[in-house]
Amino acid sequence: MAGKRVLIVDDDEAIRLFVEAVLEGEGWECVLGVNGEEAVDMAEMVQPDLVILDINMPVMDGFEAFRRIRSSPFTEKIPVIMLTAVNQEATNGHHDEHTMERQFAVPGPEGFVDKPVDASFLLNCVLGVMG
Amino acid sequence: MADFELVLTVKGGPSRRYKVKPEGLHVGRHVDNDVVLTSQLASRRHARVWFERDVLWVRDLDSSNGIEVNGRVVKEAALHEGDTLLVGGHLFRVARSTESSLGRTVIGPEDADEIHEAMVSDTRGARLPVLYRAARLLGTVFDVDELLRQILELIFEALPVRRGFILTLDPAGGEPRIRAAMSKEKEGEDTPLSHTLIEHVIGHREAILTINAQDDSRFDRAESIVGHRIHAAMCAPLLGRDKVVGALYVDSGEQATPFPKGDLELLTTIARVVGVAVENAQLYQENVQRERLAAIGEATAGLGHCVKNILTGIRGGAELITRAIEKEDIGLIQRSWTILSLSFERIDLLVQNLLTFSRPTIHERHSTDMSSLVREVLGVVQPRADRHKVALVFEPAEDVRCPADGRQIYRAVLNLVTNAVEACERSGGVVTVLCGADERQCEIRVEDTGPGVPAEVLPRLAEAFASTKGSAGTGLGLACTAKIVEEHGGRLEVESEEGQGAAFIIYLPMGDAPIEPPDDAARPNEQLRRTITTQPEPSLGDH
Repeated sequence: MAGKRVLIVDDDEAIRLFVEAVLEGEGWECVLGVNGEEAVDMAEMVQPDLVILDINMPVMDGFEAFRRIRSSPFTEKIPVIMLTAVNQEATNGHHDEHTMERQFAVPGPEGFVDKPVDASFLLNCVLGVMG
Repeated sequence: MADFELVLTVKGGPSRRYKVKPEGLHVGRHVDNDVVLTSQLASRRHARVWFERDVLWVRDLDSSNGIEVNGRVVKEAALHEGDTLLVGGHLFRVARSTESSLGRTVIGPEDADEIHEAMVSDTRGARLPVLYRAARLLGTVFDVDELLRQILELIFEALPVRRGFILTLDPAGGEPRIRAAMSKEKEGEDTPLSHTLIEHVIGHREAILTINAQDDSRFDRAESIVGHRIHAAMCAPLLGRDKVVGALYVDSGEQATPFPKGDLELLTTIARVVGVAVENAQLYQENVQRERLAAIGEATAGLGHCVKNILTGIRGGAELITRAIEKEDIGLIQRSWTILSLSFERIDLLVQNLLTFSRPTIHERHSTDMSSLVREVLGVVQPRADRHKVALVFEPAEDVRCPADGRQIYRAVLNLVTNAVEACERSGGVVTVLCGADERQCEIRVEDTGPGVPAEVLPRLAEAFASTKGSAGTGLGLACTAKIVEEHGGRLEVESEEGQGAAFIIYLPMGDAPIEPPDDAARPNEQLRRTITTQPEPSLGDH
């Protein structure tokens, strides 16, 4: 994946640094954001090849950020992987791509990675999404 | 089985009523008979009246003069309401049991409503003061057990009872349980109460008065009433909105004092008042229980979520270190170590805050050097602030000492400074800590240039597990700080406007007396400033 750019958005510093270290090791160029609002702005600005998006974040949560990224003509084609903590997202009622598609009337995220994040699982998911 | 009685009309006197027991009645001149006739026309054992397949029958027991039903001589015949029966010169009328029949009085739920209405509207009634006092108790005594005790006292004043019991049913089911009891019987001579009577009252939702319980065919002879020679008893159901929640039972003990019907009416009405009170208490209890379970659920979910996030860091950091060692990549080892340290810091903070939050801490207050304490906190937070280009500024006054539990106040200040640094992490900024004191109080003020606290979040600031920081927060920090400060008799305040940064201020008392609430009038910018407390804010729903 050399030369590809990924936008990693998580308000948790440890998780941000971990995902960054894993993907940099595979040759990705990493850009980091800390909340949903930054995710939307930076996706448009840096035009990444992939967005990895946490859900539970301050300012704007990952669901809303996802909806906006998918609804904007500048970012709608960018694949998105959501970082989920099952319990919490289940209570919000959108815990899979189909529910999210119905909820937001946009194509669902390309992938989901459950926390605690496992490096090999994350890499497999990224490979799957990027073909 | 219908309830019938034989009514004997005696010239110049009141009619006498004989209830037909389930095992039947014997009529004759001998004293062994249930209905003893004195006439010479009657045989020793003249006739028998009994039930068979729900029909009332009479048979001539080979008497000398025979029997007549409705004027016709019969050997055996079915009896119906209104029939006349001539035995040994006495004319009986067959009637349904009425309230005044010897043995018992029954007030059904419909009757009870009427009685209630009648009694409440009867302003001249002598019982109204009793009812008024019962209703007053309902409004003034909020502890149910105390209310029930006082209701029994009231009944003892108003009625000639020797013993009184209030029993309640557990909403989850089971036998009725004695919730309040009162007795004038001598100690040690107290007898059990009649369970048959209570079960009947609860099962049928009717109030019952038995004038002579021992003769009442309704109750099993082996049962406690007879065994304990209880003469008269009354029992009324405690009616909730749609179910029976218990029973109010009184008896005359071993004294043969009968209760008049009016007493049962009064008891029934009081029981209705008590029923509502008991049901309300049960509903309140259920509500408290539900809220407690919801709070535990919320706490567990919040904690689980937080631990999961920390676990990602620990697991990820460890995994990366393994890779880095394989690749002999020193740079990656350093990055992994940062991830691990961050996670350890967070789990340490979480555990410390959980402990602070969960145990009632008895603070030992010693004279504490607040300036050194704040310096220590800043030393711990400095590396993190450096990483995010957040400047830490400390402006201490000279020699600030305050009686406090240093360890706990350290934790309280650490939480505030950590929050302030986190608030500035996105765009860099300045966190300023000021420390000062006068003769009344010591003040530690933590200011940041972050985004400020949104107005709608202010009321929930000290709520445990209500983090506004997404995955990064535990939602415990401010709750703990507020708890520690309150336990010191101090006050925690916040001043913030969205977009304008925030200041959190700890006030600790210099003496033993807790700090007085602020004088609102003296603070013009009140809407931007408020006290953070672990006490829930009164909402419109609370009274």
